[in-house]
Amino acid sequence: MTTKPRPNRAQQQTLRAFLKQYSQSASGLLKLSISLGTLNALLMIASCYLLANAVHQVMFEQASLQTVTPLLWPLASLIVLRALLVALSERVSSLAALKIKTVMRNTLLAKLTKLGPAYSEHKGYGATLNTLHNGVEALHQYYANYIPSVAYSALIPLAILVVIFPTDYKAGLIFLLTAPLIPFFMILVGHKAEQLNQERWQQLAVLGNYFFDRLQGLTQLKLFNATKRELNNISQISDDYRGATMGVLKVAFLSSFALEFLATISVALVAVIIGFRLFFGTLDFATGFVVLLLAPEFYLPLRQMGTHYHAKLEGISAAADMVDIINHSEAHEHTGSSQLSTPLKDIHVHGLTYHYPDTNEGVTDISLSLPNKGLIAFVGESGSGKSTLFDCLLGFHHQANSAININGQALSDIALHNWQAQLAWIPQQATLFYRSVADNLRLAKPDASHDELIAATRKAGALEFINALPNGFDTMLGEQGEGLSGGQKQRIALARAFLKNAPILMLDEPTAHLDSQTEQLINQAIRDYANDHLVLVIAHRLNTVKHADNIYVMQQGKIIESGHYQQLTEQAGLFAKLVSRGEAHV
Amino acid sequence: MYNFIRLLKLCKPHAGMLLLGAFLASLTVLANVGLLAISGWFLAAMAAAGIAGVHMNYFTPAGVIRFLAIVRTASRYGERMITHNATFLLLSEVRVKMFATLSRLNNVDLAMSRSADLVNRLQNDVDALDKFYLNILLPIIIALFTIPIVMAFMSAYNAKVALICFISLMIIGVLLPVLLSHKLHKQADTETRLSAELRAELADTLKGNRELAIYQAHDAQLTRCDTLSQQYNSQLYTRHKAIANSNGLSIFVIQLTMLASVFVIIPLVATGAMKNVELAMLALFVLASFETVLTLPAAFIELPVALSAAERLFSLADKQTPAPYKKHDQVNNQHALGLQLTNVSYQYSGAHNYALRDINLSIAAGNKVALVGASGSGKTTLVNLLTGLWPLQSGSLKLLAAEHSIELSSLDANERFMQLTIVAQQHHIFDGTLRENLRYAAPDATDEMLLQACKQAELGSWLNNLKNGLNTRLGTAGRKLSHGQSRRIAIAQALLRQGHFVVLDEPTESLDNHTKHSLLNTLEKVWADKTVLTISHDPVMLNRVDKVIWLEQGQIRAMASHAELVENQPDYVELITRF
Repeated sequence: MTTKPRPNRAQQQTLRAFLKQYSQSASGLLKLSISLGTLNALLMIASCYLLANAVHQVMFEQASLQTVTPLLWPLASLIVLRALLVALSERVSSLAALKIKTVMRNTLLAKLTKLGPAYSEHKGYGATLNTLHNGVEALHQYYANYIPSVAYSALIPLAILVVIFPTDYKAGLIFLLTAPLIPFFMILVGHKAEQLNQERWQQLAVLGNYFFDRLQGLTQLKLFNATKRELNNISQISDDYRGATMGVLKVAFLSSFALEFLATISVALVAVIIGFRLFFGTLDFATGFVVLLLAPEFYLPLRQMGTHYHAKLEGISAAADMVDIINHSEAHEHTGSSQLSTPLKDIHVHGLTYHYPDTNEGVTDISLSLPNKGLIAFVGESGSGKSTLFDCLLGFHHQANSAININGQALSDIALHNWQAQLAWIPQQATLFYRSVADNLRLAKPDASHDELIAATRKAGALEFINALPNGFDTMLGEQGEGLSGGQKQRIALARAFLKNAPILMLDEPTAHLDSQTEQLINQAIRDYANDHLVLVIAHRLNTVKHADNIYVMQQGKIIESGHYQQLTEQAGLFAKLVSRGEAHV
Repeated sequence: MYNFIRLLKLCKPHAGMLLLGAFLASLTVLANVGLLAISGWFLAAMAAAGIAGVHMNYFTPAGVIRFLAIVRTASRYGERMITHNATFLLLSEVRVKMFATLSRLNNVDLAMSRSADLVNRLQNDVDALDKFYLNILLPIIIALFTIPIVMAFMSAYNAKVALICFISLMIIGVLLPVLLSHKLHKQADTETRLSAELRAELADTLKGNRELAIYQAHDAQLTRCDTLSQQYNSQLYTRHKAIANSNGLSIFVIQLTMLASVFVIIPLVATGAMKNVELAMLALFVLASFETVLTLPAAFIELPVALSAAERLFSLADKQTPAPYKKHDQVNNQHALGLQLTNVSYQYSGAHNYALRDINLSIAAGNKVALVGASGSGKTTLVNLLTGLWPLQSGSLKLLAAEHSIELSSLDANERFMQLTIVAQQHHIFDGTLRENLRYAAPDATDEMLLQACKQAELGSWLNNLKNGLNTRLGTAGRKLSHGQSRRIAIAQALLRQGHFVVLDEPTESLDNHTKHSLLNTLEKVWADKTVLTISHDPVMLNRVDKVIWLEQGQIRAMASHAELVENQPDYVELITRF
């Protein structure tokens, strides 16, 4: 349950249209399901006729079992057919929903891939993940139950009317006159009821959230010695909400009360009127009985649609997040397609400026030249633009590509995958995928031999602990490498990068305090790699900058100092201040 | 069964309300059945009377029909009100009981330290029990109450029809749902596993967006997601198929029962053993009688889910062994407390290594001490042990008062948290106003005291910019806080507490230099006569404390002043220098 506000009526219109558009992929199946369901209703009408006639003959024409058997056997086969149709129709509608969900999930994923990392970072991983996972699942009920129920509420009453009118137009008139009352009342009370219903769901959600929020903070309540007090709060708040919600329900149920009352009274009315017509002999019993049998079936689809109300709302609110993703415009398409000339000679960045939409954050007028090997460090306080600059170099901000020149070619002219093939990248917290250690490594080089894996992991200092894992290289890594320490994850990511053996390695050093042994080991490995490759590092550690061939110091999106460790410390600028923090206060 | 009875016991305080709801619900069902049966009889009787040309008292049945129609609708409304009210009562009962149990358990039994999904699981379990009355208990009571009545009436007309009908009711209400539930239950594990795998794969795709691009593995990853998504879907399809089959089968059984009744009655009517009008009546009566088990299938499908949720919750409650009454020590202390750890070791269950190993240290009353170390070095474990919420495994942990020392474990929670003020690493901002959040630390504090604490914690200017001041809503549904802000709220809370031994976790994180210095000045002043233990890697902070304890892999690597460590340990400088 969420406390997210439900979309209002106007938004619901557009969202429904969106959901309808996405049902195209399975519209055949949905239509089939609805046809099967409607066919079931037709057979139901036919079986009512058979039953009524059989009963009539036995009651008033002294027919024996043998005489009516020709009516009862078809009735039996209709029953079998109807059972099959119901099962089939439901299967087909859920099949349709499954198909639509798959298409929807694929579309969302493809779009998210196109949008790049910035979108889901801005929206929050958790929220985007929920849309992809639970959100898409929430569409199931919408497509499998709600959509067919809408169709039935129009088709089945119509079918009954069409059949009833020729037999007895007066009974048909009763149906016809009472039928519009239901939608009419639905609209009349529906407006209010929908609003109230929404409130009710939200209040339930608020109550649920309150409880689970306190549960999450349980340790803290204990530390504050506040658990006893909180117990009173919980029971008090539950009670308050009960009062408030019951107040809402009193009215919300009134609408369904009106509906039910109308349907019931209509059936009763039909029964009484037909009774009198039978009494005065203006109607034969078989017809009267048919009408009585069909009366509840006539109102049923309308009432059933009400029971899928929640499925509808859930689907529509889930759709809101999906529309947001799908309609998000890509700022810049990368169009370059020429081949990058290799090997890498140098990289020139000239006047690179990139700002995030609607903010001042980003990088301004960055110019720098990078050689084809060596260890280059970037330092600066958080928010100084290091990550943005790296994202630009990685090719994730397409607008900035024209400011980057590789071997004299503008990145905007080069096919992006061609450039990215030259790169390896290790973020602060590397992503270890939900698969074996070997497969995680092979992400960088799908055809790597086992010996290559061993070489890369040895270089990254990871071989020893991988061999100590229960299944060695075949050990499955759980969500984000559960069971491994921070240092171990880092070393697997490093091995992965080494395996690719890319001309350029870019990494964001972990700020977390790894144990000193791991830190030294990783440092040494990276320094070795820098001997014949280019290594760009967002540095957070003293040791790294001490060994860097060049250091760029960033502040507020600009490069303000650069040089060796020695040069920069003597300059007494920002770098000297950053570095001296540890030692200065002695 | 045992858990079912325990659940029923939980319902006991509200039994009156629950039964009233069940009574009204049953009344609705009976009125409904009666309405259809009498309508059938009425129609047939009127037609028969019309044909025979005899007079008939039609006022009574017509009146009864209208009466039942009204009873049905009115009792439906009443039933929904009462049953929902009862659901809320029960829901509050379950939550209060749950919370009371959890708050008495220690954190090891809760396994809070390791699994963040405990709360998620609890949430699902409590959610499952929320619907216990409405979806499970109510349908069962309705069936138990109404089936005998319906059967009694039906058998008064024809025992054979009643028997057939009863068998079908059992098939529809019990047999089919039990089979279905069994089938679904078997699938549930695979379903949960596939769902979790899909979620993990999707999470990887989002989080690893950059790496996938750089390693040109996007297409392969999308294919993986698609495959898994389809696998999950086809697993779900087996569930939907089972439900669809069961629905088809229900129609089959209900209609066939009606047909069978007609087969039984027709010869009786033909021979005159039964009045002709009763044929129409019984046919409708049989059809309508299935209303009694209408909601029962859902109950049987949800029952195993609710029972396993109940089992987990009850087993948590059972972990709580009623401790034999033990005389708890009193501290009677108004001054700073010292701390002494002797041979303290700690190992999390299932872990290979010790989180702490043979720790010996003492902190004199009034001293200011800092704790440094890499992640995983045992800092958090040490703080956890200090809270007393993680029971000590070996060694001793004593608080040193002026004249005597007390084992921490001999203090009850009340006394312990009177003496200790601890800001834990997983600080939780509650969903509620800023005032409510602060009041958790000090329930009796006045607004002035709260504002003062915020000012001291360097939240003054932030607070001044808040339109609603102390009434600003925080937490999941409220204002988003930066990491630094939530840390400072934790400090404000600590300032409001009266403990004599203060433990802080990274208090200066994400503060600019100026603010940092003034915060540290304030804290030094306010807590001048208290003992303060701080986890920090900030040189500004470390420079101000009396002693630094350096933990590495569960052991003390060094214990000295900041200056000495900087002088002699290059690794230490490396550890505390981050930019």
